[in-house]
Amino acid sequence: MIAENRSLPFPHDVVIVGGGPAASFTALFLLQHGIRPLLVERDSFPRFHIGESLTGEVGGILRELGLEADLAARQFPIKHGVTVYGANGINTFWVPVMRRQHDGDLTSTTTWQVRRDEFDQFLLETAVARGATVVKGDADSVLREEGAVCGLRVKTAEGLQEFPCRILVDASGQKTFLANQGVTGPKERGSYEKQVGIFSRVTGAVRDPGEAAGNTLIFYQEKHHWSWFIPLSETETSIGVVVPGEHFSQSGKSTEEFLEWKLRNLNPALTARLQHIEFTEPVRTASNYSYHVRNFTGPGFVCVGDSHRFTDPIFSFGVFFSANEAKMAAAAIRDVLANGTEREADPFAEYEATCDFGQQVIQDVIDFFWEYPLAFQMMAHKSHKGEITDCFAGRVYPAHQPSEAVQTMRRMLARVRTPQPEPVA
Amino acid sequence: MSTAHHLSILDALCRANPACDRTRIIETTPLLDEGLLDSLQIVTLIGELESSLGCQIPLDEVLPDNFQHLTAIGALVDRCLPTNSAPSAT
Ligand SMILES: Cc1cc2nc3c(=O)[nH]c(=O)nc-3n(C[C@H](O)[C@H](O)[C@H](O)COP(=O)(O)OP(=O)(O)OC[C@H]3O[C@@H](n4cnc5c(N)ncnc54)[C@H](O)[C@@H]3O)c2cc1C
Repeated sequence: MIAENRSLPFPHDVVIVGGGPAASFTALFLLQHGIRPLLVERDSFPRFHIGESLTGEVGGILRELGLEADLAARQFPIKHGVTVYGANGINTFWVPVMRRQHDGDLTSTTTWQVRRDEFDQFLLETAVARGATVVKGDADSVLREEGAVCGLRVKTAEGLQEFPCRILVDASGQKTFLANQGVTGPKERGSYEKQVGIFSRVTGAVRDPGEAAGNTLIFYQEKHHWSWFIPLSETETSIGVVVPGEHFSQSGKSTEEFLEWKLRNLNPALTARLQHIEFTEPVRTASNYSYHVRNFTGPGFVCVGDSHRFTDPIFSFGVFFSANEAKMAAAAIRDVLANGTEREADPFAEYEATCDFGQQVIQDVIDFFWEYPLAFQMMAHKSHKGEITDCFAGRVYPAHQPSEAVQTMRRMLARVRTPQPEPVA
Repeated sequence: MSTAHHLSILDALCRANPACDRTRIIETTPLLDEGLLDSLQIVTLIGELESSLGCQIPLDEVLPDNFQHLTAIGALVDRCLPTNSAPSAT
């Protein structure tokens, strides 16, 4: 551990709220830097979680952490890409999982579809096996000293416990723990906050043959109406529809009725694949999932993943941001701990700006897809193929962006958007 | 739109969607509403129009309104031709 001879007794330099991907990836990267964090998770794992399709970049991070063999052993389906079906169910476009090689060439790669109950438990157990500690409990409030966060108060089975630390990481996902505590800026509504996702798992869904069996399928109906089809095992498939909340509430249907109804009429190609399905999970919903939090780092604290921002699930970027931000946060935490700068006004300013920058690039891509679907396809297939592939391959940070494609998107979006603050470069 | 353009556009449309029956398509046939052009076919159509007519269709013009029917596509092509070779009016 870095801080051994300090006067204050900090058994853990870093305490992390949560035990999902953002928390476990942060822990795994901190451990690579020789820092052993304490994680506080309130749920008993395994527990259900949505967010099952990983991008290629997450596949790369899992390999970097030496986890490929374990994932293969769990027989998570291998994803080669995403097929997007147009509204008529006939025309499709294919987005392969790609990565850039060191020489800059784009090359095909693969990633995984994961059953999040197992995946999240596996990541957390791996972090523990490598030296992290997990406490089961509900993060209750922060400890503060002279304006800086210096620990966490947790409700555990034994009562309220205090865990002092030098840096508190918020990886509490949609619960946005630090925003609720008033430590960061407030949780502000995102562009897709009126959307609702309604989903379950089924057996009997018809997959593509051979190697393509593990791929994600996206079915488009009309603006803001779409559906996902994510193979989760040999037999089970995650199925979900996403629509404006109003469309659901005006239907007068229960979530179960609504899901079954949409699966029959959203897209003919989807309906054809679901003729003989059986539901294996309850029907669940996700709403109000689109938001962002400003000022999400500061003296003694830093947010990672959904705890500060989530836009929309259409392109499966959720776990990507959790994993990538975890890696960047761990490196920043290592430096801040080594320099003893955690109580300064803005110790993680650069990390925060980089996160906002990357999240904004993907927000622009998603907004552009919905506002200008034709121009988006034109770019993806013809005029800016490489640059769009770059976005999907995770090149969303300042070293590679804003590309000409993203600049064009921003220019066109400016016409339909209410004025927004510029993303921080 | 010139007659020459009309025919070239119809040819391009039928190459983008071979299922189109050219004898049944008139200037105002609603191509999108009748499912004769979807978004991917529009990408193909743009490529066909650019190579056969020498126009350059900028992304700003790749909007559904510009592909509603042959007349709209003709107006789009006219706007996107190099100015020195603008076609004569019909
Ligand atoms: C409908 C929908 C579909 C999606 N599909 C995809 C997809 O296909 N691919 C993808 O990559 N992403 C997808 N996502 C996004 C993805 O689910 C999230 O981005 C991802 O789970 C974020 O990880 P995280 O670790 O930040 O948060 P989480 O995974 O939510 O983990 C947060 C953890 O913190 C714990 N916690 C919260 N508060 C406290 C507290 N006070 N004390 C202790 N513990 C606490 C929670 O119990 C939880 O385990 C989807 C999202 C939605 C809404």
